[in-house]
Amino acid sequence: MKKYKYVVVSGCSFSASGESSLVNSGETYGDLIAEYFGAKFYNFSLCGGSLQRMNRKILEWCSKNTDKFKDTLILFGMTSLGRLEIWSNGQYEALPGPSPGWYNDCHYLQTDPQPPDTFKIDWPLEKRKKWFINFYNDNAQFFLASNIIIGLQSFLTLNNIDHVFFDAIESTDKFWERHCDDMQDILGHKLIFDNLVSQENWYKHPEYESMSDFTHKNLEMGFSKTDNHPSKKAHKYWSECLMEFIDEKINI
Amino acid sequence: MKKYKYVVVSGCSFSASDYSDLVNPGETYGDLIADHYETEFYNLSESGGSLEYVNRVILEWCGKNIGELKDTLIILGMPAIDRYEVWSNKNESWLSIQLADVDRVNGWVYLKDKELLIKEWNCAFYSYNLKHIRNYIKNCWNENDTFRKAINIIVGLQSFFKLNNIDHVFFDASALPSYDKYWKSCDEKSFGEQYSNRLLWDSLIETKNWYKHPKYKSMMDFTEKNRDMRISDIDIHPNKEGHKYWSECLIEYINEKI
Repeated sequence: MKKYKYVVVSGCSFSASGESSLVNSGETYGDLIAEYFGAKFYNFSLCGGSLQRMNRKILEWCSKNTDKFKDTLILFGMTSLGRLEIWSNGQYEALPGPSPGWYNDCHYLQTDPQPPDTFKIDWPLEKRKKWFINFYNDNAQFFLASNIIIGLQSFLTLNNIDHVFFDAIESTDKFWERHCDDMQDILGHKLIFDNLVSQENWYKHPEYESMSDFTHKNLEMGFSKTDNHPSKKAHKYWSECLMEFIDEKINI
Repeated sequence: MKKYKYVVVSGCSFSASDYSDLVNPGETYGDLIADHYETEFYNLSESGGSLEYVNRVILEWCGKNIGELKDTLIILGMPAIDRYEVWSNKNESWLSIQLADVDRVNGWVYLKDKELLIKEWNCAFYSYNLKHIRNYIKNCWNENDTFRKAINIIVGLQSFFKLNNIDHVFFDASALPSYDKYWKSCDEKSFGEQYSNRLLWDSLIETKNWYKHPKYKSMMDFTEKNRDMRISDIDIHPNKEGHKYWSECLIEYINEKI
């Protein structure tokens, strides 16, 4: 059995800490798993984080830590496939010093945060919506997500990096039947997912289809009565589920 | 030496024969390589194709032909990096957007016939015009982000090929600057060292299967510098001779290295 030196997590608010309505740093499932292995912990999760971001952050970490692969366990708390990462020149130029311009929220195109038009260059909401109306589509989102997952899984397997995917917000393998309107699979997107996305390292809870489903059905596990982000107790429970899976299927 | 059953090419107009201005089917470098190895040939290239397009159609082909992967040679003629692919809700299909002279302060200038472009867009989009796309470019196009997305795609593709024992070759087709030098066009300094694309490229991209001509930076560089190898004075796409020469370079590389 491997003794990991590094545990790296990438995901959305269900894996993140520190923001209001989230647990404190040190209390997420990732922290607890790192503690269990006595490993250093890197948490790249962010509220509203998209799959593009999850992929980007993990490859970024890997590029800087090529000597650590064999001692690393990477966990992906899969976010909703409907989310987007958009580059914002407005944000990039507005923030002082070297800064990334990645904006992780569909709201960038659909709605206005406060104050309106923040980080937009001559691009009012009405015009931004046109992009959404023309280009945003669940079939496309599903296919782009499949491409990212295939690439990530291949990269991790090829480099012998132990890893686990699990559904944090919604069931990834049910996204197609629930959100896509191509039931005949004319576009072939489902076929690509079924044939090329591996389920081998994908943790599935026997009762709940996602972490969100778990907190939704067990109100005492939510952050509050109206907020189903996982509480400290929920993170502890989920970390135990994941550790059992890791010990049985991954770290052998 | 492996006996391939399939040669599959994906790329842009430098690999395609989908327009009357380009060489005929049967005359591309891909056709000639398939002839050389006596294999079935799939040319998935499309004029205007972006890297997203290249990635998408290759994964589509692999997903539908998983039983054939070990007998397959895949060749990717890498397109210009500043193209992108969008989903068109109106057409319910993917569409490559080709940018020219990208200028993220003022939007961008499209060199193609404006009337034709507007006609194409009216078919593909719900009231989306040049002004709208300029707004998008001004707000959301950035060379660092474009390069980052490209690296992430290439890392995934290379890993997928290697993991599935698929012989493959990448080369720069219409990419100028070439992919490995693109970081020089980016403002890495203001982007921040912690996000360095150069580091990402050097650490994660394997250049072992990336064909580099000893003299030319890309296939486009080759046709630009050799008038007799391109379609016409003003059209730098490779002619029949250009494709023949390039196929010989690639076959030599494949036999030696792949």
